Amino acid sequence: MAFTDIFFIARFLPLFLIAYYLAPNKYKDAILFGGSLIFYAYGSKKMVFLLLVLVIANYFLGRILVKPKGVSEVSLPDLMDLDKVSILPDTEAISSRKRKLVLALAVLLDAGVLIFFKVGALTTTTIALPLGLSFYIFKMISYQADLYTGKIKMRPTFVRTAAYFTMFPQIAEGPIMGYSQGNFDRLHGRTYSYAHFEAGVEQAVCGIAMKLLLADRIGILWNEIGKIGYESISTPLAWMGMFAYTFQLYFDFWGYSLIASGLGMMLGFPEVINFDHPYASRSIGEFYRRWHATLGTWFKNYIYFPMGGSRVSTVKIIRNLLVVWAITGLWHGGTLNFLVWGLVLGLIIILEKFLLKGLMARFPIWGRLHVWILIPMTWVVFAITDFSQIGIYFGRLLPFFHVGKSLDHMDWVLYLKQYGPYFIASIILCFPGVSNFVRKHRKNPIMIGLMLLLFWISMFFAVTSQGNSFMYFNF
Amino acid sequence: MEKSRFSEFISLIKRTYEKLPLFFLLVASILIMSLIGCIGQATRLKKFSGINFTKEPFFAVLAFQVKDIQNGGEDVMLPASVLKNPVTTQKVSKAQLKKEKMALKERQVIPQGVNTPVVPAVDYGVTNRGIMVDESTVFTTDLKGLFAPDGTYRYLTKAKNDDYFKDALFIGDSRTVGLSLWSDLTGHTNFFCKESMSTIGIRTKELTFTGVDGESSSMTLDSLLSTHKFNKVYISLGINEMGYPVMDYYKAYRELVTKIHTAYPDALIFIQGNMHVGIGSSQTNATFNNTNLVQRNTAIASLANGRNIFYIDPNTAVCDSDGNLIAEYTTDEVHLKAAYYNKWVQYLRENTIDPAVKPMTVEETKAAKEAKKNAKKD
Repeated sequence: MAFTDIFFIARFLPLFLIAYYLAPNKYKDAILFGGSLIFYAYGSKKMVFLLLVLVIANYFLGRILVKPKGVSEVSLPDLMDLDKVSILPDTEAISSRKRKLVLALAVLLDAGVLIFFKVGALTTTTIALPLGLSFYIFKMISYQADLYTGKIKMRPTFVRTAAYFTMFPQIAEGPIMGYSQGNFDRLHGRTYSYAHFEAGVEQAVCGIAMKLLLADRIGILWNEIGKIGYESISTPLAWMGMFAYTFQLYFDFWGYSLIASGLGMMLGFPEVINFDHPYASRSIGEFYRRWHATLGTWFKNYIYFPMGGSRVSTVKIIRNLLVVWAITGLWHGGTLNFLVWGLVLGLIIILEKFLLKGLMARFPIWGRLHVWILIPMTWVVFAITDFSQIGIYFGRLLPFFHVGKSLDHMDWVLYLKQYGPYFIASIILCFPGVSNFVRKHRKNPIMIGLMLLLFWISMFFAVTSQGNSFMYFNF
Repeated sequence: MEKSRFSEFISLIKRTYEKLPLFFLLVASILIMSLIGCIGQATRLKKFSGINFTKEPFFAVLAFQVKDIQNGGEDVMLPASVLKNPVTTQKVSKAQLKKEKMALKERQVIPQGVNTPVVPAVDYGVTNRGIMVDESTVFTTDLKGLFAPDGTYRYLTKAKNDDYFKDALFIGDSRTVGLSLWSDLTGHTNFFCKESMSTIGIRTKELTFTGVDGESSSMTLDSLLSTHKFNKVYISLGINEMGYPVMDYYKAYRELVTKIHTAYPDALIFIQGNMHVGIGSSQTNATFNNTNLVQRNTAIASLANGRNIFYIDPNTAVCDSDGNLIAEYTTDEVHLKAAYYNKWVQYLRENTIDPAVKPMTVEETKAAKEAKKNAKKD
């Protein structure tokens, strides 16, 4: 069940919202947990058990990690306290060394499961990557680390932990929200207000329109080019294709993140910003603070800082950055092109930080070109698995290497006519001013009417593209 | 009493609208659209009553109806996943498969060399048997009429050069569009094609005509037939109606060939076998698989009469020994990559009919060959 599926929008979501809001507040976490399991099982009947096992394992390991001092041991009368059964020793008596061991065990378990499935999916045909694994494992690791450091200020209950790990707005593709970031560690952490709910609905509608009306449409161009074969396209078409993929990736993921954040707000959670106008950045370093921000924050807090971050020698900083980017690459995909993608970005960021700083400060256009030209080029490495095909594509982008042969020098003309409007819309949406304008005027009846219209156009596409496994292909 | 309760209700609605304007409008519009859809599928839009409304919202009816209007009035193909009683896939026994292959062989009434045989494909048992004809149905050539052989035949031969195609017309779907953009024939022949085209769409829709002299315009088939003349017509349609029953496709194809023959009685018509799909699609897709395709090709192949309507199957040039589209030649398993369209063109060059040679009986053809051989000896 994806957020843009008709079944989710017209069946699951309305029923869930009714159940969630009819229930008294103290049962809402349980309903969220239950509903999320149903959501997950709908897409993945077998793997829901893996998720359940990991939720339980992480909860009980986490109980040991609860910091002895400063933990609010207040009885929680208006919460379903399911951990009445105390099968583990009193956390007060656990030594700091033992806590370190338990943390290591938990992280090893979580990371181990992730690595097992990633390697398995790559090397065998029988093992497939379970839905959302890369995302919920990172949530679990952050949970353990936050318990260890005391960032989580109130002892979690099983239901709250389970709801946090499995919540359906975030289980499939994130955002990787922290436990305390979602106010799970507050007694009354949810914001139940009309304004908050309506803001969530607005975000979700914008996200749906972004995915179905922009990302899915402009993505067809990238598929068309693949159909033709990279060796045969003209250079202008190669550049168009590269930007088509760039925009598709951006608006698909940003759209999804808006829906996720919007749904969360509809359930009382705070807004989670995963994309903060990355293409308005002035450097690639800045870009990756704004692109998939929750992932970047996760790597910063749980890998970069523990390794010393930027408070160590230059050599060590470079080492830390390369490690972070190697893992980032592999997290996205196990094939070699992803590792190369990550390391290339790490190298560029290192160059920006240490060699190009002065140059970029004097000529801001330099950093902008990094973002507008180099980033799309790195997406080519991200999109294509086969290195010879990557080579062919770059050969068409930069024709002076004489790779491939354009079979029709005017092929790009027709595609420009067809996709021109989508490129224009994409570029417009890259300006932060546009979304700020939308946010500012969201109470305006014209804006509301526009969103309603976009919703219904999106529904048209959602309904009529069902069952079409070749969604991108019109024969 | 009634009035105050009603006015309370109205003020509740007002308050909800003020506090949650977008949400309110969304819910209200969904309810209204759903009501219209519900009433619609029970009355004027009965064609949608087969939809499974426990899974699909009633407003989906309106979306499908808009799509119908977009399609120019032709019924949109409802995906199996939204229907109440979707046609189920069945696994086929090896014995049944053998029967079908035998039936194929027995059909060869017309002598070899007049048409190319239908290229077979290995069955993977995933196909949607509900829309296919029963294996006991065998497509045979007619005994009377346009599609019936009359005892005289022309034989396939190689074209001397690409000038052969100057007075030819290629009618088709996106695969023909690819042919018009990426092959050696680009600019050397006439194309009348469009993405998503089918034997149903071609009755009413406008396709793009690209002429050998540079003409490029949009028109219907009827318009083209009455304003232009061609001596050879190649047809390649079928991949966009794989979800419709084979019999419907066969009947529509017959209608199309009849129409073209009526417009150009002296022209040679080449029915092209639909190109197969790649192994991935064939093994996993109940609609787009080679079992379904081969049956359709078998059906349309029976329309060839050997004197002015022929069947040629380009799959020999682009498929492997299992009858799957060669993986190297395609990215999406349905279309050839730009660089490989010439494989199709080469096949076409090697399977042409010389219009200068009259249709002759088998004996006359043999005698003519002998005479030629003797003439060479001298």
